[in-house]
Amino acid sequence: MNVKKLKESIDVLKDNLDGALLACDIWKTGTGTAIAGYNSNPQATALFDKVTDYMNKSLKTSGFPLLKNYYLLELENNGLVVVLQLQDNYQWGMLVDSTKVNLGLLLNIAVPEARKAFDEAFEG
Amino acid sequence: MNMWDFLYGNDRKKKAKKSKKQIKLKKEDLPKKTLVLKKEHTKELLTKSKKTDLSVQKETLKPKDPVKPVEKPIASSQKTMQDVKDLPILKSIIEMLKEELQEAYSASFFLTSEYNILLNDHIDLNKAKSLGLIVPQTNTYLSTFNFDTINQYLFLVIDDDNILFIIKLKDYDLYLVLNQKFLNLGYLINILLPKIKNEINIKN
Repeated sequence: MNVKKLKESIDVLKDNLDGALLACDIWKTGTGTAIAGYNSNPQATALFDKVTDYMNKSLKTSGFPLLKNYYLLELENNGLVVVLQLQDNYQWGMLVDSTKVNLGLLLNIAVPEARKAFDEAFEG
Repeated sequence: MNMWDFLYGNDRKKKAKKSKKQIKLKKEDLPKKTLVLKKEHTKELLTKSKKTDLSVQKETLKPKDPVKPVEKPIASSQKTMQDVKDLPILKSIIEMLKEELQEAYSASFFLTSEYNILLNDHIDLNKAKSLGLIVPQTNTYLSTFNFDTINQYLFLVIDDDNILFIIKLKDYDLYLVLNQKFLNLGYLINILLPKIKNEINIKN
């Protein structure tokens, strides 16, 4: 993992979301602790690690494949949480202000580019 | 074994008879093992025909998470009557979604505020049960950590084809399995979701 590129991948996300990104963290599944972030929230990292685990267990029990790409929660008070499922069991959770960015830009530009930047950082 | 048996088990005919009534399964009735399907089996998991009648089945769910389990309210007959009263509205919503979403629609069911499954369509009752606690359990986690809870919807992209899209309604959570290759997400969120909410509000 190239740490410098990992931090740059967060900058890519911030730039693409143009002020709408409130916080984000990247962590390894099962650890619940971040390896990089912006306005990091350790509680959120631990929480969404658990939420992902619960979702995967529910999917598995019901015979569906596990989460592959991402999940999105639309929260009260205009918050959007997106949790990307990355390679080698990494996850990238982000809290976005839905009044400052539209869903199309978030899902079709910011998320794919963030994933690409992470992959580059991972390859070193 | 034919596909129908694969999806619903060999005893589906017995279950189909039971499903016309309200069923409360005992613990020992539940399958001890769940068949884990690979990606290529996912399509087979969901029945293909869109003509199947919407069966009225009810199953009380049990919380699974040991950290802070979702509390199951005591069932009241008044609420059951409400469920029955709402059935035509809920059915009409599913029919509307099938018509609007066309090939993007794969399966659906409703979860009541009493954690019962209603109108499971093209998805086996036990499989719906496993998915059905995602919203209440996620909300429990969020509120435990003092985060805002889910407002109108959430969705999970589970593979290249399938999205599990969940809409929070007044007294129900609507779970939809959708094929994202045919889905216009903006149309679902900005047009259909308000339409569904409006329909429920007007008829209530």
